[in-house]
Amino acid sequence: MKPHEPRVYIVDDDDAVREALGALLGSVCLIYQSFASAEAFLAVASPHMRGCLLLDVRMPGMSGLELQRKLQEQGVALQIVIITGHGDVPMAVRALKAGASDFIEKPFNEQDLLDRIQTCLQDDHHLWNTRQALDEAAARFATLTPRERAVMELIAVGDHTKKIAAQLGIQDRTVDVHRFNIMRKAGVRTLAELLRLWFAAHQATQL
Amino acid sequence: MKLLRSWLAPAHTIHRVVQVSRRQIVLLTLLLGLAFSVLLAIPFVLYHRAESDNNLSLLRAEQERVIKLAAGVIHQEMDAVLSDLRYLSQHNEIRNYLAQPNRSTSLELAREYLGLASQKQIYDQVRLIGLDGKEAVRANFNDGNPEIVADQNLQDKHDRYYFEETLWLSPGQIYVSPMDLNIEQGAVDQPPKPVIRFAVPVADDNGLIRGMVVLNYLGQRLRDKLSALEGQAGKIWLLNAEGYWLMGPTPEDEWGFVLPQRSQRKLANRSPRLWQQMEAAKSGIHQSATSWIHFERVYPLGRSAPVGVADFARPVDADRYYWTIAVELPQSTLQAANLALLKKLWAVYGALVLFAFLVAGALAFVINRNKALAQVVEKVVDNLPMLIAYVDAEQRYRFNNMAYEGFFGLKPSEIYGKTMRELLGEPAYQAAHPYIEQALAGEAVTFERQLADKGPGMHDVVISYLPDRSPQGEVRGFYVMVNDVSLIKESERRDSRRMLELAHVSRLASMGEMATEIAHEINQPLAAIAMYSAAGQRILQGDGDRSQIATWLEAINTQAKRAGEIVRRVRRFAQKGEHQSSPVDLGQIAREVAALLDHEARSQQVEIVLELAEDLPPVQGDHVLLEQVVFNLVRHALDMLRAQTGERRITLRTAFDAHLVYVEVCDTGPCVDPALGEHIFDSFVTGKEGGLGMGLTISRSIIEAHAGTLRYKMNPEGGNTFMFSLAREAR
Repeated sequence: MKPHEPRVYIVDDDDAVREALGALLGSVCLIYQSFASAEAFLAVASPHMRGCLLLDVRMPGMSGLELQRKLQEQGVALQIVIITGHGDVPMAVRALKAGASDFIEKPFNEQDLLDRIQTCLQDDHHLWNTRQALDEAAARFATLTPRERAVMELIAVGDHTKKIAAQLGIQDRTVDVHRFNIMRKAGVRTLAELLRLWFAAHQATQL
Repeated sequence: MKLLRSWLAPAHTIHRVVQVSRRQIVLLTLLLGLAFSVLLAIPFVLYHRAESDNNLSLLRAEQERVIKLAAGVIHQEMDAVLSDLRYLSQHNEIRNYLAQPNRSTSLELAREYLGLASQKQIYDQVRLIGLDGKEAVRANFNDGNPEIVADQNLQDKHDRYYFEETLWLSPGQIYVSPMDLNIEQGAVDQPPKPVIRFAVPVADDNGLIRGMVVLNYLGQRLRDKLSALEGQAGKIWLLNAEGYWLMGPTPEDEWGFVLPQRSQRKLANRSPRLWQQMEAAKSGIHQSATSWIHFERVYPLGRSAPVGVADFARPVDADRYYWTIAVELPQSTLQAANLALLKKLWAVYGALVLFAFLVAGALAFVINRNKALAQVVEKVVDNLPMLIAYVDAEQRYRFNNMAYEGFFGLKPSEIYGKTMRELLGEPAYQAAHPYIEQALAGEAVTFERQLADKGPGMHDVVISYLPDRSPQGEVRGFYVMVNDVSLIKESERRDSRRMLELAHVSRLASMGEMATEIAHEINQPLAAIAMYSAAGQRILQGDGDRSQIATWLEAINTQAKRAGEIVRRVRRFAQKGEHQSSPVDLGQIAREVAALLDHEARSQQVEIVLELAEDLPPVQGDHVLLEQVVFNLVRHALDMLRAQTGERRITLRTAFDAHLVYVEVCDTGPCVDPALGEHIFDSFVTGKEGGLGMGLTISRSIIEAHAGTLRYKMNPEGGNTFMFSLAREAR
C-alpha cells in the first residue's frame, strides 16, 4: 500500500472561489488540485489519497455531504474541511458528525484557513503514522494460533489466569505459556501495552 | 286569447307593478263617453233637421199635386155635365116634344131622361120645366132605382131661384146653381143631398123659348171623387166663394150657408187670416199653429168653352163662379212622421253612444295605465342612483331625472331646453364633444372621466350616450346616462394600494427568507476577493512569482463588480418605490429572476433553463411587480423541487402571439396536490412546508391588476406549469 504525496484538494463549483483558493494556497507553496464538482473529484478519488479536502457543501449535482459519504464508503481517508456559507451551521454540524475534521464559514480569514489546512495536514500525517502502527499490530496478532487468540480474547475481557484455564479446560501454566508467546509475537513487554495494541488493532480491523 | 292577454299585461314586465285607479278610469270613461256622445249627436241633429225639412217639402209637393188632381176632377166632372146639358137642349126627343107636345112625345122624352139618369148615375133629377114653372117631364134617380115621375106628382117650381134665373137667359146660355142641399117639398133632404142644378133654356125649331131642362147634379159624387184623393197630403176642403165649406174639416162644418144652425161655420170665423189670404190671392200656403194649408181657387166652369161653338151653351158668370180647394195637413201628421224618424235615429244613436262608452272605457283604461306606467317609470328613473337625461339633435336637454338636478344643483327649468355647452361649461363640453358627435352619428358610446358637481367635488363617472333613432332610422337625439363610480374607483385605488403594499411586504418577506442565500451568494465574490488580496499580499511580502498579481487584481475587480451586481439586484427587487406603468421586457425579467435565484437553485441542485423567445414584444406594466410574479413562480417551483429525488429542473419560457405575451414556469417537481386545484392561488393555502401561501395569491393579484391571467396546469410528463399572459403593448 503506497500512499500518494499529501496535498490539498479543492472541490468548489464557484470558479472565482476555486481559483482564489488556488491562488492563496499557491502563495504559501502548498500543492493543491481543483475540482469544479463532487462528481469530478469522485472520479479520481482513491484510498491512497493523502492530505486535506476543502469541500463546499452546497453544489449543484452531488452535494458536499453526499461526496463525504461516498468517500468514506470507498475508504478515502482525507482530512475534510467543510466550507459553508453564512448561517449554514446545521449542515456543518451534520458534516462533522459524519466525520469531517473541521468547518470554516465564508467569508473566512485566509490565515485561519491556512492554519486549519496545516492542522489537517499534520493530523493526516499523524493518522497515517498511527495507521501504519496499527496495521503492523494487526499483522502481528494475525500470526496468533487459534488457541493463543482464544486466550487473548479472554485476557482482553480482564480474566485472570486461573479463570482462563478453568474456562478453556487447560492448565494454569499452559495459559502462562500462551500469554508469553502472545506478548512475544505482539512485541510488547507489559500487559497494558498488549491490551492497548489489541484494542487498537481490533479497532483498525473493524474500520 | 293568449295573445290578447299577453298584449294587455305582458308577463314579467313593469306592467305587473302598475296599479290603475278604478275611480279615475270610471271618471275618465264618463267624461270621454259624454264628449263622444255630444260629438256624435251633431250629425244626427243635422240629419234629422234635413230629413224633416225634406218631409215637409215632400208633403207640400203632395199637397200641390192633390190640389191639381182635385181641380182636374172638378173640371172633368163639370165638363161632362155641361156636355150632357148641351145635348139635352137639342136632341130629337125634345124637339119632337116641343113640336107636338102630346102623350107619346112626352113619354119618349121621359124615357130618354130615365135612360140618362140610370146610365150616368150622377143626376138625381132630370127635368123639363115649362115656362109656367110646372114640371113637364121628370125622371128621378131615386138612389139607384130610377123612375119616371107620374104626372100627378109633378111639381110647380115657378118660385124656385133656378127657374127665375134661367128664365132670364137666352138660348145658348147655361145656368149653374151654387152647390147646396136639395130641398124637397120645402125641406132639406135627410141625409143631406148636395146638389148643383144645371139649367138651360130650350127653344123650339122656331127659336121660341118653350121651357128649360134642369139637371140636378149629385154633389156627393164630386165629394166622393175628391175624398178619394185624400191621403198623406191631408184633408181636402172645398170652399165656396163666401168661405163656407162644401167639404169641410168635419161634416158639421159643412153647409153653413144652407143650414141656419150652422150659419157661423165659415172660414172667416174659424181662421180669419187664412180667409184674408184666400181673398187676396188665388193660391197660397198658410201655416198655422196646427196645420199647413195649401189652397187654390178653381173655376169649375171656366174651361167649358168648346172650340168652334163659342156662343153655344155657355155658362153665365163663369168667371165669378169659383170654389177654393184647400188641403189641410195637420202639423200632427208632420210631427208623427218626424217622431217616427226620431225614434229610428234615437235607436241608432243609442247604439252608437253605447259603443262610444265602450271605446271611452277602453281608452280610459289605456290612458290610465299609460299614466300609471309613466309614473312608475318616472319614479324609478328619478330614484336611480344615476344621472339620466335626454338630449335632442340640437344638443338641448329635453328630459332629466332628479339625480341630474341634484348633481348640478339646478332646478328643472334651468336644465330643460339648455344646450349641453351651456350646462356643462366650455371645457367639459369640449372634452365630451367627440363622444357627442359619435352619439349623434348613431353610435352608442361609453367613456370615463371626471365631472365636477355643484360644489367643489369631483366625481369619477362613467358616461354612456345611447342614440335614439326615429322609425326611419334618423338620429333624433340621445340618452345620457351618468354613473358615479367614485366609490368604486376609490375602492379600486385602495385595493390597488393594498395590493402594492402587500406585494412589497411579500417581497421583503421573500428577501428575508432568502437572506441566507443572499448572504451566501454575496460571500462568494467577497471570499474570492479576500483570498486573492491575501495571496497578493503574501507574494509581495515574500519573493514568489509576482507576475500573477495583475491577473488577481483583475479577478478582484470582477468579483467586486459581481458583489455590487448582487446588491443592486436585491435592492431593486425589494424597493418600494413609485409603481408606474412602462414598457416591460419579460425576457429581461426572466433573466434577472434566473440570476437572482441562481444561487439558491444551485445550492438545491436545481437547474434553471431559459428558453426565451427572440424579439419578444414588450408588455405595458410595472417592472418590479412583474419581476415579483416571475420570482414567486420560480421560487414556488424551487420549493416544489425540494422533495424531488429525480431530475431537478426549472424551465423559464417566453412566447408571444398576435395579441398576448406568455411566460411559463415549468418544473419537474412533484405535482401540486390536485385537491388544492385552483385554491393554490388562495391566501394562506399552501402546499409546501413553511410556506406562507402568499406568493401565488399576490402573483395572481398583480397579473389581474395588469389585466392578464395566471393559470396552473399539471405537466403531462409530471411536474407543474404556471403560466401567465399579458396583452402586447399597443404599437
